[in-house]
Amino acid sequence: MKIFWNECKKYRSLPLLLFVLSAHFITYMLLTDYDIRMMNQGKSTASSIIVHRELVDTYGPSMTKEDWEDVKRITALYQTKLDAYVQNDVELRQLGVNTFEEWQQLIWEENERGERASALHDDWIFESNESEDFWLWQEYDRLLSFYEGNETYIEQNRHGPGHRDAASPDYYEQLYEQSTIVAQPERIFLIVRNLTTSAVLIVVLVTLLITAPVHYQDRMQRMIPLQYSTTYGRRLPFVKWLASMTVSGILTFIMIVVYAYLMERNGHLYFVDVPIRELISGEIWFDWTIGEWLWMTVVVLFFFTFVSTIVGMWIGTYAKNALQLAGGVILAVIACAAILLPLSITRLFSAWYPPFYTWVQLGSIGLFAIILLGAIVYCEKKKDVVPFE
Amino acid sequence: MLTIDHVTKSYGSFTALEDIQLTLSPGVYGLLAPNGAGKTTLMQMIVTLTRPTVGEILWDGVPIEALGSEYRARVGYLPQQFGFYKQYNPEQFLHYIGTLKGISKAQLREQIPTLLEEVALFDVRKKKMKQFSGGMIQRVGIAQALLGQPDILVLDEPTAGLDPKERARFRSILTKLARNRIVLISTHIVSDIESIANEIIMIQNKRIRYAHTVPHICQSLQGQVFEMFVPDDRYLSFASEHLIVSERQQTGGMDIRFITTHPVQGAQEVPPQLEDVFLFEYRDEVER
Amino acid sequence: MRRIVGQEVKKVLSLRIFYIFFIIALLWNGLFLWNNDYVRSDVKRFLQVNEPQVVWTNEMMKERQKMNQQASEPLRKGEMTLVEVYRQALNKGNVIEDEKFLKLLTEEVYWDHFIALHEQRAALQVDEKVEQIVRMYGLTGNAAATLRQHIPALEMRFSKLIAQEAPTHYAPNALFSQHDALFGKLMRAVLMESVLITILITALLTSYEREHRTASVVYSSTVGRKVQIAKWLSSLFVASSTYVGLFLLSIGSYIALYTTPSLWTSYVSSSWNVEGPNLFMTWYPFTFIQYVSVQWGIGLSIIVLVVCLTWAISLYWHQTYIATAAVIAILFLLFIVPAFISKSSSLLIYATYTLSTLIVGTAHWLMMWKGYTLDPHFEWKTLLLSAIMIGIISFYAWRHFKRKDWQEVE
Repeated sequence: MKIFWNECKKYRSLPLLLFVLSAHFITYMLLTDYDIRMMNQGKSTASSIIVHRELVDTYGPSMTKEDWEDVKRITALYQTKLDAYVQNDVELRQLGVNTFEEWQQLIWEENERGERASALHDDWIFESNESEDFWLWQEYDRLLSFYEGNETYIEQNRHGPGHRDAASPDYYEQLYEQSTIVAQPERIFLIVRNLTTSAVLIVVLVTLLITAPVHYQDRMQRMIPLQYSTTYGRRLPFVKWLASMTVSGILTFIMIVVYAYLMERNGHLYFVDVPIRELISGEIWFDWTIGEWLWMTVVVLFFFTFVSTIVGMWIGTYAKNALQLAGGVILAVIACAAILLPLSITRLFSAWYPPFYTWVQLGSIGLFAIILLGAIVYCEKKKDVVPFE
Repeated sequence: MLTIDHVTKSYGSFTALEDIQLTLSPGVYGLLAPNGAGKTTLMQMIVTLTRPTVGEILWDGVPIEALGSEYRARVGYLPQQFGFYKQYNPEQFLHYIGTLKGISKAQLREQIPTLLEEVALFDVRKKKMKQFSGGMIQRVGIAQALLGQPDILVLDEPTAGLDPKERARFRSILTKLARNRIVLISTHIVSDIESIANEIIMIQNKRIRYAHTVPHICQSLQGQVFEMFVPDDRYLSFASEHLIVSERQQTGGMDIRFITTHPVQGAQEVPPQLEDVFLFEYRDEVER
Repeated sequence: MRRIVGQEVKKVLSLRIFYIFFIIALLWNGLFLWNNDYVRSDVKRFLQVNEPQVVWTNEMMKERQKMNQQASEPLRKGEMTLVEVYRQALNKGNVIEDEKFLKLLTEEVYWDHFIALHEQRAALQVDEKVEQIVRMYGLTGNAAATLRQHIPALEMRFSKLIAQEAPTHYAPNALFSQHDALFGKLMRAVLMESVLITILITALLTSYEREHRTASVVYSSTVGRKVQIAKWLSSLFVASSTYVGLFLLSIGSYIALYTTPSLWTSYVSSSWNVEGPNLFMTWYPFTFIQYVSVQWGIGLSIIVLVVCLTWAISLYWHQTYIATAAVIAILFLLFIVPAFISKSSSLLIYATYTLSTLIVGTAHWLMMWKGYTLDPHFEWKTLLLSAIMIGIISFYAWRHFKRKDWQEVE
C-alpha cells in the first residue's frame, strides 16, 4: 500500500496540475463549450429547447396520440398569432400580404415584391424581439410534420435502423403503435451524443498527457536498476500502473462532476427521463432515456481512462527519447480522434449498425489493453536491465 | 554464502562473461578490471537485474531466482550511474527506497537518521537533492544501499566523485560493515580496496584471472618490480623497453617504478603491490 | 558554425521517429487524395464535354476586348445576333452548314450561358454581403464598424474583379469544390503536419544537451551557449525542408492528378470560384499557380515563426515534452481567445490576427470574404505582428539563457 501511495505521489506536482487544468480548459473551449451552452445559443435552438421543455412539462417523457392532437391546436394558435402580426403590419399589407403563409410564399419570389418581403422577414426574425412566436411556431410545426408524416417515414425507413439485415424491420411501427411517440429529445440527444464523443477524446488526451511522462521519468532518472533490485522489485510496474489508473480515475471523476454541474446549470439534465428512441432520430438498440445514456457515458469514460493509462504506460516505458515520448502521445491522440471517435464512439449502440458492433469494438479495445498491460508487466519481469539504456 | 556457479552471460553473439566460478562469504571483495571487462555485468546478475545465460547464482545453496524477493531483501545495490529523484530530499528518497525494500516505517524512522549521520548528510536531510553536489548524491546512494542492513552489499564504483576525505570515511564504513556481510565493490581506484579487501577478484578475457588475497596476488610479481632513477634523456628509450607502473618527476629525471623479468643495472627491487599486478595483467587493455 | 549546424541536423535525421511522422503525414494526405479520386474521373468527363469552354473563354474575352466589345454583348452579323441569324434561316427552311459559322454559334451559345451566370453573380452587393457577415457572427458596435470600414476597399476590388478576372475562365474545378479540397483541407493538413513536426524537432534539438546530460561539456566548449543558435538554424533547415517536402509531394500530387493545365494560368477568382456558401475571390489578381506559390510562401513563414517560438519556449523549459505541450497549448489558446471578447468590441476582430487563425484558415488566405476579418492586409499584418511578438520573446529567452547559471541537475 505504501509503495502504491509513493507512486501516486509522483503525480502530485504543481506543473502537472497546471498541465491538466490547461488541457481541460483548452479542450472545453474547443470541443464542448458549444454543446454545453447549446441551450442558450441563438433564437432557433433556444426556441426549440423551449418547445421541448414545454412538451415534457405538459405531457411527461412521452406523448400519446391524444397529446398530439393538443399539439395541433397549439400550432394552430401560434399560426393565428402570426397571421395577426402580418395583418397589423403596414408594410406587409402594402405588399398585398394578408396571412403569414402568403408572406412565407412571397419571400421566395424573385422580383421586387419578393425581395422586399424577404428583407422584412430577415429583419423581423433576426433583429426584432417580436419574433419569438415565429420560432416557437416553427418548432411546433416541424415536430407536427414529422408526426403526421410518420407512416411515410416508417415505410421509408423500414430497412433502415434496426440494421439492414432486417433484425427489426418493424422498428418504427413498434414505436408508433406503442402510443409512446416521443419527439422531444431529438436535439437533446444529438447534443448529449456530441458531448459523449468530446468527453472521450478529452479523457484520452489528459490521461495520456500525464501518464506517459511519469513512466518515462523513472527510466530517464535511472531509477529502474535501483527499483528492480529491491525486495519489491519487478512487481513495481503493475503498481505504477495502478497508481496511474487511480490518479487518472480521480481526474476523470472530477471532470464528470464538473460537466454534470455545467449540464445541470444549462438545462441538459431537464430531459434525463425522456426516452431517446423516437420518430425523428435516436436510433439506438436499447430503450434508454437520456439519463441512462449519460450513465453509459460515465462507464465509457472510465473504460477509456483504463485503456489510456495502459497506452500511456506503454509509451512512457518504452520511449527511447523525449521525441518518441511526445510523438507517441500525439500520435495516440490523433489515432483516437481520427479512428476511434468516428468509427466507434459516434456509433455507440447505433441501430444503423449490427447489435454486436459496439460490444465487439469495446471488447476488442479492452482485450487489447489488458493484453498490453500483461505484456508490459511480463517484459519488465523478464528483461535484462542494462545500464545506460 | 553466495555461490556463482559456472555462470556465462551472452548478449546475442557477444559473450560478456564466461564460466565465472566464485564463492563469496562475509567479507570485502574488490572487483578489479578495466572498463568493459564485465564487472557491471557480474554485479547486475548478482542483484537480479540480468539473468545468466548459462549457470546459476545460489544463496545458501538455493538459486536466487527461486528465492525472488526473499533474496532481494538481503541485497543493497549502488549502481555505477546512480539515479535519484531531484525533487526529493535525502530523507524522502531513503523513505521511498526503504519502502520498496519492505522495511517498516518504524525501522526506517530509526535507520534513516543513523545512515544520514554515517554519510555526513544529516544536516542537509531536508534539502532537495537537485541542490546537491555530485559527492553528496553519491553519499545518498551509499546510504540507500545500506538501508535494511543487507547481507549482500554490491557497490559499483562507489567512490566515484568522492574527495580523499570522503573516500577515507567510506573505507572505514565498509570495514565496519564487512564483519558480517558480503561486500562486493568494483573500482578503478586500487588504493580504495587494497587495504580493506579480504579478497580481490580480477576478470580478464571474460574469465576470472585471480580470486585471492592481496598478498597472494602480489606474489605473482615477486622479484619483477623495481624502482630506479632515470635521467630525462634516457626516459623515452627506457619506457619503450619496460612496463612503467608509476613515475615521479625529480630534478633531471624521473623516479620510475617498473616491471621486468630481466634485472636492470641500478634498479632496486621492491615488493610488488596490487596496482603493479593490475597494470601488468591488463597492460594490453590499458594500451588499447 | 556550419559544421555544428550539420551535426545538429544529423541528430534529427538519425531519429527513426522523424521519418515515421513524415510517412504518416504522407499516408494521411495520400488517403485524402485517394478519397478524392472520383474528382479525377468527374473532371475528365466534364472536360470531354466542356473542354471548349474551359479553353476558349480567355480567348473570347481577349477577342471582345480587341473589338472594343463588352463581354456581355453578343456577336452580330450585321444587325442580328448569330442566334437570330440561325433561327431566321431555320424558319425559312434553310439549314446553315457553314462550319465556321456553326462553330461560332456553338461558342456563342456557351458564352451566353456563361455571361448569364457571370451577370447573376455580379449582382452581389458588397455592403449587403458585409452586413450578412456582421449578422452571421452577431457583431455589434465597434466590432461591426471595424468590418464596415473595409467596404470601400472591397467595392473597389470587386469592381476590378468582375471586369477583369471573373469572366476570364470557366473553371470546372469550382463545381467539384476543389478550392476547398486543395487549399482548404489538403493545405491545412500539410501545414498542421508540418507545424507539429516542427514543434517536436525544434523542442528536441533545443533540449537535447540537457536531456542527454552533455550540457556541461557542450556549453563549456569553444562555441559555448551559441550552440543554441546553431540548433535554431538547423531547426529552421529541417522544419522548412519537411514542409517543402510535404507540400511538394501532397499539393504537387493533387495538382498533377486533379487539375488541368488550363486551370494553372487562369485567375483564381475566375468564373466565380464559388463553392457552396464560400466565395473565393482574391484581393490580388493571382493565377492559380501564383496562388499556389503564395500558399507555399505564407506556409513557410508560419513554419519559420513556429520554429522561433518553440526555440524560445525550449530555452526556458529544457524539456522536449513540456516545451512541445506548451507551444501547442499557446497555439490553441490564441485560437480560443476571441471567444472571451465581447461581440461589440473591435478587440474581437484584432484578436483573430494570430498564427492559429492563419493555420486553420488556409483556404481563405488573401481572400476577400474570409471569416469576419475582411482586412485586405490580414495575412501580412498577422505575420508581422506574430514576428514582432515572437522576436521579442526569443530575444528575452536568449538573453535569459545566456546569463543563467547552468546546473546539470535542474
